[in-house]
Amino acid sequence: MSPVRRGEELPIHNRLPVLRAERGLSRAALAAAVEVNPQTIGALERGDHYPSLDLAFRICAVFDLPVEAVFSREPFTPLSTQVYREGGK
Amino acid sequence: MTAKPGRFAAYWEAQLGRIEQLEAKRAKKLPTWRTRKRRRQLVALVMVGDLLLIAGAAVLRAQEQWVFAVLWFGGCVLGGVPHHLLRILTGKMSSSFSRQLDEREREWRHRVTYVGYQTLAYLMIAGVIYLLVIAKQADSAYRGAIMITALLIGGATVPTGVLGWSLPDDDPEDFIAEGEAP
Repeated sequence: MSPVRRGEELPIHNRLPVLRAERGLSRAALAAAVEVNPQTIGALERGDHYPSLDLAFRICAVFDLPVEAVFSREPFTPLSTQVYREGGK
Repeated sequence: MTAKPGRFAAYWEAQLGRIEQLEAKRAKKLPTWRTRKRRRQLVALVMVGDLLLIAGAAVLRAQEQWVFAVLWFGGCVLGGVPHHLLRILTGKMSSSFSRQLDEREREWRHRVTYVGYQTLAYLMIAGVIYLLVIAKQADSAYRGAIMITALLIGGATVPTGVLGWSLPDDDPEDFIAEGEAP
């Protein structure tokens, strides 16, 4: 767990594992792109660490996505479900 | 005058590069030991080593010199070897400069440094009380210095101990090299 005090009721969810898998990026490759240790990417994915605004922006720049597409207060719907629903409209 | 800072800065950068390479090598050492359970065992050994040093300092006058020597030698070996291993297993957070750490690692270091500082302050208070108690006894300055040394060594091992105790198991996926498929 990250040692930083945080509100239990306000978690930050992210889509890092899905986005990495989609682009074939290892944790080490993403870590190198945003200049952190690969273990920090692992901690972000497990929810053990919440990123600073700076790190969040750097991660979003790698995926070329807005912050809200990568991080959210609410749990993300699986991408496949979201794509299917949007495609079915 | 301007050449000196430049040369120093270049030297410093080279040193940091060397440390970074060393840490990268150390991050791959002892792969089967990189679990919380194993680190906690090492922390327990370090604590036993610290207690042996303190016990050695406490019996310095009451017992023969060889008892002190055995306790201190035992404490140094029993505490020193696991502490060295813990520093390898806790990686950059326990042995690198802040500049080489990322935000998560800095948070961890700030936390364990604070705990270490608090513990050391209490240990020094204990050392002062010990000095006051033995002040009028023979060799009080020598014995006090040995006790303060034992407490100082004990306090200095706290940050790495807290790190080793608290960090989660290493995730093998973190060590998949750049370019390899996740």
